[in-house]
Amino acid sequence: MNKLVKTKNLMKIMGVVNCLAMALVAQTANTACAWILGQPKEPEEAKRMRRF
Amino acid sequence: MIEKISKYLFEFQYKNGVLEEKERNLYEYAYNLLICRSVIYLVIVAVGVWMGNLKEIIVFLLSFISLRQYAGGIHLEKTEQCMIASGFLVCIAGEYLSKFSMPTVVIFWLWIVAVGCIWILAPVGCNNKKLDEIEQRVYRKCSRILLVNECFLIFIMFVAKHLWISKGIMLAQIILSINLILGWLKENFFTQRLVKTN
Repeated sequence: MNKLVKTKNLMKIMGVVNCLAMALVAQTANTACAWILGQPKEPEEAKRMRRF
Repeated sequence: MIEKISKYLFEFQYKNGVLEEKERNLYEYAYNLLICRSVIYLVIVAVGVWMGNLKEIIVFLLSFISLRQYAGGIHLEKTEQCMIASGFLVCIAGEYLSKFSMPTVVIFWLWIVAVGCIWILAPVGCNNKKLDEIEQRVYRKCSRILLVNECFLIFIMFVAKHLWISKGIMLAQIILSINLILGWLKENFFTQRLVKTN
C-alpha cells in the first residue's frame, strides 16, 4: 500500500518534471542553441514544435 | 552520465505505463536539456556567490545567452565537455569583469569588430542542429534585433556611468563573435574537408 502511494506521488512529481522538460524542448526548437555551449542531437519530434 | 540519468527517467515512467516507446527520443532529449541547464546554472550561481562576482556573472550571462540562443555558434561534441567549458567561460568572464570593470580602448575596438562579425555571420548552425533556410532567416532577424538592442543598452549604461555593465555586454558580444567565427570555420571548412576525404 505504502509503495503504491509512493509511486503515485513520484508519478505526480514526474508529471511536473515532464512539463518543464517539454517546455524547454519547445523553447529550444525555436532557437539555434540549447544552452551556453551545448546542443544535443535534436530529434525529429522536437523539430515539429517550431512555431514558424 | 547525464544520458544515463535521462534514460533511467524514461525507463522508470515507461515501466509504469506513463510514457510510450515512440516517445523515447523526445523525452530523453528533454530530460537531457533539463538536467544540463539546471546543473550548469546552479553551478554558475554557486561559483558566483562563492567568488563574490554574481552580479557581473548575471550581466554577462544575460547578454550572452539572449544573443547566443539566436546567433548559435560553436558547440562541443560531448555534454560533459560543454558543461565544463560553459561553466569555466562564464566564471572567468565574471572574474575578469569584477577585476577590470572599466572599458578600455582595446576592448572598444574589439567590440566594434565583434558587432560586425555577429551582424554578418549569425546564425551559425552545428552538426547536432542544422539550420534550414527559414530558420536562418528568422534567427538572423532575431539576432540582429537583439544585437541592436544590446548596443543601445551599452550606450545607455555608458551615459549613466554604469561602465561595468557596458563592459559586461561588450565582453559577451566579443566572446560570442569568437564562438561564431569558430563555429563558422568548423561548419564550412572542417566539415566540408571531412566530406571530401570520405
